[in-house]
Amino acid sequence: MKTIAAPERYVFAVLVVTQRWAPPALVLVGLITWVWLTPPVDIDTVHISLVVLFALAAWLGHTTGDSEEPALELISTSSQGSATRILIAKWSVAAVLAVAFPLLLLVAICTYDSLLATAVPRFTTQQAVVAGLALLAIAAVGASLGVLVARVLPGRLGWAACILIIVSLAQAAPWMAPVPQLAATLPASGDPLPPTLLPTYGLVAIITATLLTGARLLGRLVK
Amino acid sequence: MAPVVELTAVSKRYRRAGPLVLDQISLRLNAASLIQLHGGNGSGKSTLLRVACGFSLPTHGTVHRGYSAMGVVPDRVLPPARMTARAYLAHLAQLARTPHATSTAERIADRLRLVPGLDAPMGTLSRGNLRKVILTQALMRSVDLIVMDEPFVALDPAGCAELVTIVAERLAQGCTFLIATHTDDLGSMGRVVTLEAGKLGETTRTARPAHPTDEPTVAIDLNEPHPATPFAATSAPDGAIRYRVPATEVGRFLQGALDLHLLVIRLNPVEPEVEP
Repeated sequence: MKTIAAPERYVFAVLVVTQRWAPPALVLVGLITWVWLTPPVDIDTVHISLVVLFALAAWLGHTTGDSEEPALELISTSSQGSATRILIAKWSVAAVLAVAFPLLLLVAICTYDSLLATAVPRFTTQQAVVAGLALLAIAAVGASLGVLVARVLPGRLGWAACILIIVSLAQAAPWMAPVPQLAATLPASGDPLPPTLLPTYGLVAIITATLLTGARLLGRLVK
Repeated sequence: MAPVVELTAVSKRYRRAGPLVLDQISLRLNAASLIQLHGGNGSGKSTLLRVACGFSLPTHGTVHRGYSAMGVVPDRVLPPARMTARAYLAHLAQLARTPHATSTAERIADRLRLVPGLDAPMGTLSRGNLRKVILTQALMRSVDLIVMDEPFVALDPAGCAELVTIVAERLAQGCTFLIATHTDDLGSMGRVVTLEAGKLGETTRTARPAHPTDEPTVAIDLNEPHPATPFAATSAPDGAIRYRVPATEVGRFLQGALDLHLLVIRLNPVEPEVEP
């Protein structure tokens, strides 16, 4: 287990000692706290969180993807023996960092409501599970976008910021993927699960895999 | 014998309309061999190293890789400043699934005379000591191929001499080296390939004459052949292996021989020949 997680531990250690994690992580904690402390807290709160989390997961993904300068990355890749494994480690660390706090808030609220036997809990069990899955999915796809941009535009912070901001703002458009589709899968209280749930998660998985594959292939071309 | 790395007609350009950084390079690295890549600034040495070990794709041509593990020493590295050298090397050892390599790292760092030790944050290290950490990470594991880009830059003379010895030892153990360098610290070890404006130039067996005519030589008898020296061996009357080594190379030759646990039977047993 220790060996399996070695790339993730290395990526996390580099991220921590370089303090590159601080700006996106602190903004994420601040914004998500503000969203979740603004009543009413219900499924619409999760909807807003998805929009915010996509942008911040992308920022964290870019920060993590760009945490090693190119020569340092050569060393870690040669030690690991697989550039793909290092890429996956960067993506997974960014996604976990992004989703940890909102997921914690969701679990805390559900636990609080169930412990105090609130008359009208803010989330049904079904809503809580789907909301948790949606947060996980949006963190995964956002982080993969950030990693891709970091690989294709190494050291070009200005261009990278422009692309991430534009793609994040474009999530407001109903035809854009993946935030509007994932938001549409969040059931209102008492509603059944929408039939688009599985296809939507399939779409998110495809987008994430495509972005990571692009990061792996295009990264080698630009070097 | 299958090559460790073989480049066939490799060309590389970074932009579609950009200049060719590498132009029709064909190069073969056999196991337990060393290639010194010489060339001026911008001649394409670093690009050739990156293409050879798969970090960069060639625009044309093919690269065959027959190694399972490799070590890399890039030219300029900016490691995490607040991480200690020990923590960094431990992470890399874990990445390579060779946690025991950290004890080897300690020994190599000692041999290279990493003065503040491994517990210093890397941001506090001088350029030379940082170089030693980067060299240590490549040398601490058992690998088939080690690629080095300007490994002697910023090293002190003792560090340079020790690095040459370590390279000779690894070469003797079957490791393959591809080393881009401006300096002639490696002397006539291995094969020297010159790169000029992205094209392979002259290939020579030795970097400089093994016996400059105006330099006195010293005869050294060993119990076994020295596997990592450019100097030709002859048989001594008692069966020992005799080398005639230029006086300026004797220290390095002996150090290399002792590090390889060879027995030095005699030193200068006969009068050195004075070449006309």
